[in-house]
Amino acid sequence: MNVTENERVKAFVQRRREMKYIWIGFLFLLLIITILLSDFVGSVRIPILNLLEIYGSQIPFLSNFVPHGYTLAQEQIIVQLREPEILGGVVIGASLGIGGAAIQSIFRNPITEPYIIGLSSGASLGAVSSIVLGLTIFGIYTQQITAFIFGLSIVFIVYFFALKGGRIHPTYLLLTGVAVSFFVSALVALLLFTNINLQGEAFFWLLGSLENINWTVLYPVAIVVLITSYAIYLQHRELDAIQMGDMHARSVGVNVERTKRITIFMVALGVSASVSISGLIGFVGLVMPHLSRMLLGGSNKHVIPASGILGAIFLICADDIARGIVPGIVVPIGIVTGIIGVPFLMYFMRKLTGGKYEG
Amino acid sequence: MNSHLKIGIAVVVVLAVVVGGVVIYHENTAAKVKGEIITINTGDNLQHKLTKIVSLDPAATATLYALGAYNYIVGGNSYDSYPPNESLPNITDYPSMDLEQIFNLSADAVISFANYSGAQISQLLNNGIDYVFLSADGGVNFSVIEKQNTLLGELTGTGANATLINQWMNSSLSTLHSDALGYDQSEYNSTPLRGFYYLSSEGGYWTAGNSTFVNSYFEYADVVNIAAAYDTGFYSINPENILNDSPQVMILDNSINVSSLNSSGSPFQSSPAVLNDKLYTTTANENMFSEPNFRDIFAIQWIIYVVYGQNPALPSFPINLTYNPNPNEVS
Repeated sequence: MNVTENERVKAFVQRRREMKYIWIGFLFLLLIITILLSDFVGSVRIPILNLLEIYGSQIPFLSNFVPHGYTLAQEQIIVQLREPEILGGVVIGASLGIGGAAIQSIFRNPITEPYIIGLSSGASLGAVSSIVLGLTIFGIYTQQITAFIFGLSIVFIVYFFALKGGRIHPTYLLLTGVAVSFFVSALVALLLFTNINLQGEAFFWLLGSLENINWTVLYPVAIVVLITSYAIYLQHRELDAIQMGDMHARSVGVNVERTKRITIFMVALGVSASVSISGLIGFVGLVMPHLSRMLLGGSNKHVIPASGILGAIFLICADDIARGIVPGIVVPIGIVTGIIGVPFLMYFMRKLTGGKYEG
Repeated sequence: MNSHLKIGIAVVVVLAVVVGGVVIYHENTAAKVKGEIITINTGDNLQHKLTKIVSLDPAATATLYALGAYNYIVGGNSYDSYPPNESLPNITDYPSMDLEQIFNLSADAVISFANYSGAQISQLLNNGIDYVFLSADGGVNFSVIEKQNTLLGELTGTGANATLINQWMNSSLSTLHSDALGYDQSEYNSTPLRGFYYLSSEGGYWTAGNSTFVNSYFEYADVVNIAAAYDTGFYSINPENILNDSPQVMILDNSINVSSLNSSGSPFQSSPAVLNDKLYTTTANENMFSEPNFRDIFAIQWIIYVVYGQNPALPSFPINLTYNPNPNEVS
């Protein structure tokens, strides 16, 4: 390879790298636009001028100069209902997307997602237990807190079951996760069977929804998700190496078991916190990492943030459809993510890769 | 200190500032006076009267109308049937309350009997809206309905009318029960008379068990509800129990296809109710079998009318209403 050719390759690599940052910047811009547009969706129509005034009134120092032509009801609708719901979509979508990217790297398996390690079944057991047994130990947030505790506990059980000689084999962890999930799902079914009158309430939790998110529950979950997402991102080099196989990762100096342990714990913490306030939302954690890889290649340095942003955009859009498709009624978001998401993924898979994508 | 740690600390500091700012803003914008949860057990502990009510409970809408507090309702629900010709905006109540609509109406209270999520109720309370929960853990009977009337009367400043309605209810119940005890059951061959309420055939034989207001109807009409012996609340009864207890009279929801009762394999096929055609479908009074309120008196009157062929005279309703609360063809 002569000097000119070498420079051409370097320039090409540099351009590719810049393109990836441009893509991430574009996705971030798209996220901001989606957030702003979503504030218009709801059963009550709020004029754009009033909406802008309400935005302005929330900005420190600027609020004194913004006219207050809006009503108290309009302010309550935007600030107390739509904003926490939309930002909840950002937080939950990001945690599922990032969790999916990390879990797929650890398992080296394209059809895994955060729920595979027992999170969803554990959280379901917690939420359904609190509904069926009428638990009130944590006040009105008992359902969310028990879902969080149970989700995390089942992941620990799966992890320690799968631990052999201080090591975790991905296939063994995967199978243990599936087996324990089946067992826990049977317990959930048993609980529902004992009180058929509460099946409806539990059913809606299992389908997922963002409309129950308020600032009180969003603050702690947002902090947990931000910290865990950042911690996962810090592992991106190690996860890249693990994607090539444990042997390869060890050969380049990666502490494989430590990386897996930290990543699984962070994913479990972030996704359990998210699921506890939204119920089960499928599809995001499975598909957004793939979409990110199609756009940005396989490096987790780009895939992790892109999965988070795409997960957030997708979930906000799904929530807009859930809120807007039937006026006044919020369709459970789990239904929307499945119905809209699958054709969306199939289209992108064909469009972006010509059918050649291999995960 | 490595670069990752520096970035991490910077992120945490920025986060703390942003989250702190947002928390302070929302603490300031949240309603200064929080709403209250009100039930028949807590009673009226408000310092003010409710004047802008969203009623997600059709039974409560009817009661507020009878109390003379209908003008205080700013939002109703799609199940409201009494008073007829309602012109209130329908607030979505399934699968959850539409809080946007409720906020938009500047409501001061929401009345409901359904279990909504704690997060939704907390949104109401944080925005200064009271939540009146009319469900009763031990089941709804006429004693609970009386307490609900009193509560709604106190909350809307129509307590005197609530007292009048309660007195009318008690007097009517006493009349209906004593009359029912005196009616002749000999045409049914054996006593006590066994009755069954068939609510729905969707996924089983749905009926009203013990601790339901429908069970109270049977008791006041001197009919034994066969479903009360097996379970409480509204539930799907085992067909073996239907065969074993073989009802002599059946009250059918409007959705039940009468011809299906006589079909092969039906647990009702050989029952005296089917063989003697003692099957009575709720039609005009359909809502009285799903809404626990003062109008349920007329449901008992109707049961007595169809079962015994008698028409017990009730005391006249104490409040002059534009729309007759009695949906029965009997009066």
